[in-house]
Amino acid sequence: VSGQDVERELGKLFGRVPPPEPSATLRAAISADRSAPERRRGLRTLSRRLGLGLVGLAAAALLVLAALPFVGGGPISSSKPSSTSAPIRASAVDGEFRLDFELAKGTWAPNEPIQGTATLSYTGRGRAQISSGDPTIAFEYREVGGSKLMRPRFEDVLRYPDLAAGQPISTGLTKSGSIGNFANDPNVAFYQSFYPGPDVYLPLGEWELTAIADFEEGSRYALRVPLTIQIAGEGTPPASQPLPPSDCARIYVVEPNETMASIAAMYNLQLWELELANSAKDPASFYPGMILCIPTPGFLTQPPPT
Amino acid sequence: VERELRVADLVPVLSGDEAFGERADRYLRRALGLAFYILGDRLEAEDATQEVMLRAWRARASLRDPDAFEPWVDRIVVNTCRERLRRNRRLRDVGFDPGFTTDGEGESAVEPEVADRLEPLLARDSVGRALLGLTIEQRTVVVLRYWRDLSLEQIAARLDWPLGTVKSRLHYALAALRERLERDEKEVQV
Repeated sequence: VSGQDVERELGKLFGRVPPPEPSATLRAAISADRSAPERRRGLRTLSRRLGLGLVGLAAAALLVLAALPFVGGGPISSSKPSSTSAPIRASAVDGEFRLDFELAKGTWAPNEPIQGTATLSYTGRGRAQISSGDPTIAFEYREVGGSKLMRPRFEDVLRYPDLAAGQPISTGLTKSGSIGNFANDPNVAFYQSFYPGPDVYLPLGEWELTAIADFEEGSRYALRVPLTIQIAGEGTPPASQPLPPSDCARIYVVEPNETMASIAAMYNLQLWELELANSAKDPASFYPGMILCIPTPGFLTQPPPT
Repeated sequence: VERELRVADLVPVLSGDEAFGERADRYLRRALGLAFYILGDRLEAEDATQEVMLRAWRARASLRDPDAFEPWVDRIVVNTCRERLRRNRRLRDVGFDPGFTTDGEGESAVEPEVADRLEPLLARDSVGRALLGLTIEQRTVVVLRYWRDLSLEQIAARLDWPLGTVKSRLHYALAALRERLERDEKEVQV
């Protein structure tokens, strides 16, 4: 082995084991970090787009001040669940973007899949180029007066880099959630009942569902639209996911476009090892949001460390 | 190996935070890649990268020269990875030698505890395993030299290490890799 061989081997290594792509979770976390301490609105962007001078800028500032109650992503209209069958809806406006959130009704049974739609539209002229950040629409599920919470899970719902006036983008209600430290998370039982299957079911009680659009266009936008619903009446929700064994090295929530094989490879496991560690699950029902137990590599063959 | 275009060639000049956020987002993959090759684990690398981006964001006012963006973020990546490995090591082994600052040339060739906990992907590859057997400083130089294609001078400037230190680290790293690969070859032949 010569020095040149070593250099060649290194070159090949970086081709064989390419660097990973940033996950949607990472991008969302970074976005959230940036918006946390100080949030500056799109004043500069607005004035630039409109070609305003100093006076215009002051006028724009007044406009923004006047719009303050809405700018924070607060709802401009909201309806409480009054009837059990009428749709409920609310919206939020931030600059020239508008997010509408509608649920088919205000009261749902525990065994009814909840149905709704969030729509993001651009109300300015021409097209808005979404410059960076994953443009996403996600949903948060929060128990009113309780502790159950499913945080938004940001996925690429908006595939287009820009939004045109009059061409809104819609997405149906999707599951959310990011699980931190599984062992210490008080919401584990809730996650297990929430995750099975692609449909959204919630336990009895009052819930706040929030549609969130998060993207950047000149400045950062985060529109939030909450709606409150009741889960009441008869009916049994679908069975919970079985509890992963406590000796899992990690709990993993499946992301879109992943397969058992790709996840096994990511954790240096054989496919059968991963399947065995998750033997209670039906391999045919593999979907984003499914909770997998990631065992320690070689967990079947290696004796426990002493 | 790197196919991405330079950020500066693509982005029209924006002002302040907008430009910063945009640059950081476009640079995300390369920062994550560097963290991945240093730490050897995708999820660890993602955690480290989130920390890096937060640090960079908070300190963005201190970056006066926009052209220095990449070297600046790279340095934060390397420092963050070193700190994380050190922290993990403390967590695992309370009684370890606190003098972890192995900046001299007498650094121990292998940190087996560190290599042990770096599980997937890189550890599956024989050359990757050899890479993980190096010290973190040696590995950093190797990755910047052969993945990023940076010159020794660029690496020294980027990490604020003396050029001589960078040279000797690369020298020892290549020697260790060679020894490891030769050993593997013999084992295969036997």
